Amino acid sequence: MDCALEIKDLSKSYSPSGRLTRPAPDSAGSGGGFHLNEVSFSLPRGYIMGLIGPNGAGKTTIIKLILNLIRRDGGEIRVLGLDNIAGEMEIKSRLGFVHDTPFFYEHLTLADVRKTVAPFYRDWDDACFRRLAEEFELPLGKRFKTLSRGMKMKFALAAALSHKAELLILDEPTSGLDPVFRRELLRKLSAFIQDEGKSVLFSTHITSDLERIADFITFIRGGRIVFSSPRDRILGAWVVVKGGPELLAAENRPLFKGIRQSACGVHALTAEADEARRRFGREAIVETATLEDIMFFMSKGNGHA
Amino acid sequence: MIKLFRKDFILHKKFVLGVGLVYPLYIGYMGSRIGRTTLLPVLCAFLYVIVPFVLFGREDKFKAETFTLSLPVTRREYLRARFLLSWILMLLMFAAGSLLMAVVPGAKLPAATVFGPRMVLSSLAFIAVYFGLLMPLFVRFGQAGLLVFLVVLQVTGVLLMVFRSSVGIGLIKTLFRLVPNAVAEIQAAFGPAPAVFAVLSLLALFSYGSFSLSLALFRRKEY
Amino acid sequence: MAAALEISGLRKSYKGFALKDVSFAVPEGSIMGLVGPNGAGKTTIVKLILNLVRRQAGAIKVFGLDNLADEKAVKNRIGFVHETPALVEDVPLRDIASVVAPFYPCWNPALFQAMLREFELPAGKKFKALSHGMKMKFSLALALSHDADLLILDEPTSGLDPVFRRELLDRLAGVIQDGRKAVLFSTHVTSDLERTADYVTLLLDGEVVLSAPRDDIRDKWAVVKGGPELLDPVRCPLFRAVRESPYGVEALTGDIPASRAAFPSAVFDRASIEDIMVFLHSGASHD
Repeated sequence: MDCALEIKDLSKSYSPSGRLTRPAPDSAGSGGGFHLNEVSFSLPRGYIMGLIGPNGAGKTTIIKLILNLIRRDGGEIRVLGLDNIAGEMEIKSRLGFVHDTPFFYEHLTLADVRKTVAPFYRDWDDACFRRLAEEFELPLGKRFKTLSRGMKMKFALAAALSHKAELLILDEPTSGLDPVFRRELLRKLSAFIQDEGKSVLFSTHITSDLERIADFITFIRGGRIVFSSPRDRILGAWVVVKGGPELLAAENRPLFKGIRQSACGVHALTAEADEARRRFGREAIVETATLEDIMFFMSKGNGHA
Repeated sequence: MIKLFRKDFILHKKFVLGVGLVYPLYIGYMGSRIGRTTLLPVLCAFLYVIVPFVLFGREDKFKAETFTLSLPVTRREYLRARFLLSWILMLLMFAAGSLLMAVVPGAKLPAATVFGPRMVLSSLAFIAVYFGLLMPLFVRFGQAGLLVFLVVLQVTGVLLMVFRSSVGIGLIKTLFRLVPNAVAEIQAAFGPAPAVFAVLSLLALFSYGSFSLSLALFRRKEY
Repeated sequence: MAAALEISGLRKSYKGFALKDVSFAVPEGSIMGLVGPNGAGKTTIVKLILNLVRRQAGAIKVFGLDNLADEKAVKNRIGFVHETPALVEDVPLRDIASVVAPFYPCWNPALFQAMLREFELPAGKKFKALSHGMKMKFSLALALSHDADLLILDEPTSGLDPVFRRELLDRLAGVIQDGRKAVLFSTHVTSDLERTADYVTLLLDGEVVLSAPRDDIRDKWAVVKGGPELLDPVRCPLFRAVRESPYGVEALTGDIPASRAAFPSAVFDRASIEDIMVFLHSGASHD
C-alpha cells in the first residue's frame, strides 16, 4: 500500500527530570518519566487520520518526532516513502504543519511572515496563497500577535496549503476554536484531501470532530498504541453495555475493556459488539460507543483489573 | 484587611524577605556617604517608594488580579490594603535605612541630624508626595505608567542640565526645595511641636486625596 | 422556581463589540451552558457578574442580591474558574490555598485536601510547573472548596482531554444534586452541553438568540432538508436560516410541527446545538 506516513517501532523516552519540551503531563507513564513504546501505525495516501489520547499520552511527541524536532531513540519513520531524517529536506518541503500554538514571529505582519516563510519552499505558489488569504479573510497588514487564535490557525493552514504540501500534520488545530470556525476548518481539510491523494494527520481532544471527518483513528495511551484502524470499524465494533451488577459476573469480565459503576448501575465497554448483543441483548441496553466513551472507559482507574 | 496583607506576604515572601534585608543595607551605606541634608531625603524617599510598586508590579505581570478581584473582596478594601501595606513597608525601610545611615562607620551626618525633626519630616513629606503622585498613575496605567513617568522625569532633568539653562536649574531646585522649605516655614510659624502635627496632618490629607483619586480610577478599571 | 442567577437588560460596549440587552436566568438546581462563537460575549458576561468590568445598563442578581450593591455577599456564594487561570506563578499550590482560604468563611480544608488528592495535584508544586489541564483542576478545586452555591466557569474544558472533560461534567452534575445550587459554564465543545446542561443560552454577536431548556431545543429545532421548494417566500418565514448547496437546500427551524405541515415531503433531522449555532451564525453574517 502506498503510504503517506509509516511509523514502525518508534521509541522515545524522557527521564523524569530531563523533560525537554513540555511541562509534566497529566497522566504520563510511571514515575514522572515518559516512554513512547514501540509505536507503529500507517496512514495510506488520500486519507485523514485522527490521533487521540489523554494529555501526556504522547501525541505531540509523535508529531515532533515526525518533524525531526526531537531525536528518536529507536524505530523508523517514513514520510511519503522517504526516511524522515535521511530525506529531511525533501520531506519538509512536501509537508505542511500546524502546531498546537502557532509560533511564527509574533511581531511581524502577516505579509512579512509570508516573505520569511516562502523562500524556504521550492514549490511556493504565491497566487495560491493570495487566493487563500482572500478566501480566509486574512488581514495581511495586521501583526501576527494581534490575531485571534482561529485566525492564526487559518494563516498557518494557508501557508501550509500554499506550498503544495502532500501531507498535512496538525497538532490540536481545533482546540479553543468555536464550533462555527471548527466546522469551516474541517470542511477545508476534507476539501484538501479531495484532490490527488493528499493526506492529513491531526491530533485533537474534540473527538466529535473526528467522528465527522476522519477515515482512520489512532488511539494512544501512556505511550502505547491502543488501536489504529478505520473509523467505521471502530464505531461499529465498540459498544457500551448498560445494565445491573450481573454484568460483573466473572465470565463476562474478559469481554470488557473498561467498567464504570455508579448508583444508577453498571456501564461497561467492549470491542465485541456482536458477542455483547448476544449475551446481554435481553436484560441490558447495548449502545454504540462514541470515541469519547472509548477513551473515558479505557482511562486509568477504569480498567477491569 | 489582614487577609489581603497575608496574601501579599505569602505570594511575595521571597521578594519581601530579600528586599527587606538587602535594600536598607544598600540605602544605609549609600546614604551614609551623602553629606548634603537637602539631597538625602529627595533621593532616599524615592528609593523607598519604588519598593511597593515593584511588589504590585509582580501581581500585574502575572495577570493575577483577575483572580484576586474575583474573590469576595471589594475594590475599596483591596486598594486600602495596598495603601496601608505600602506605608508599612516604606516606614519600616525608612527606619532601618536611617538607623544604618547614622551608625555605619564613616557616616557623614551625625545621628542627631539624621533623626532630627527637619530630616525626618522632609523625608516623610517626600515619601508622601512621591507615593501620592505615583499611586494613581500606577492604578490607571500599571507598570507602564510608572515607567513613562520616570522616563519623562529623567529626560526633562537631563535636558535642563545639558542646556545649563539657569532658569531650568533654578526650577528643579525650587521644585525640590518646595517640600523642605514648606516644612521649615511651618516649623518657624508654629514652633517645633505643633509644626510636627501640622506637617503630618497635611501629609495625611494629601495621602487621603491620592487614595480617593486612585479609588475612583480603580473602580473604572476593567480586567 | 427561584433563580440562582438572573440577568436582565445587561449592556456593555467596547470598541467594535456590544452586549445588547442580554437577559437570561439560571434556576436553582440546574446547569446552564453558555455557547457562542469567539467574541460573542461569553467571557464579558462572566466578568460582569464578578464585577471585573463595569456594566453600562441592566441588572445582575445572584440569589436575589445585586452583584454590585452586595458584592462581598454575592462573591461569597460564587465559585469561579476563569478561562486562563492566572496566579502569581512561582508559588506552591499550598501557599495559594492558604491565601484564598481566609476570604471564604465556609472554606473546607478537608474537602480541599481530598480534592487535591483526587486530582493528583502535589501541594508542594509551583503553579507555573502545572500543565494547562492541571491549572484548570487546581482552579476547580479552589472553586469547589468553599461550598459555593453558584459555580461560574469560563471554558473550563477548553484544551482538556475527553477523559477529564467527562469527569468534570460528572462532578458539575453532582454539585446540583441538592436542588439548590446552580452552575453556569461556557464552552466551545457543544457535545459537553448535550451531555450535561439543563438549559442552553446561545449568544451571537452580543445578543441572546436562544435561551431555553435543552430538552425543548431538542424537541423543537430541526434541520430541514429538501429541494428548492424550501425557498418559497410565502412559507419561508418558518425558517430561522437557509443554506443552499449543489445538493439541495437545508433550512433550520425552531417550530417542527408548523414546518412539517408546510413541507410534508422534506426530511427532518434533529438539530444539534452546533447545527443551530452554525446555521444562525452564517445566516446572520449574510444579512
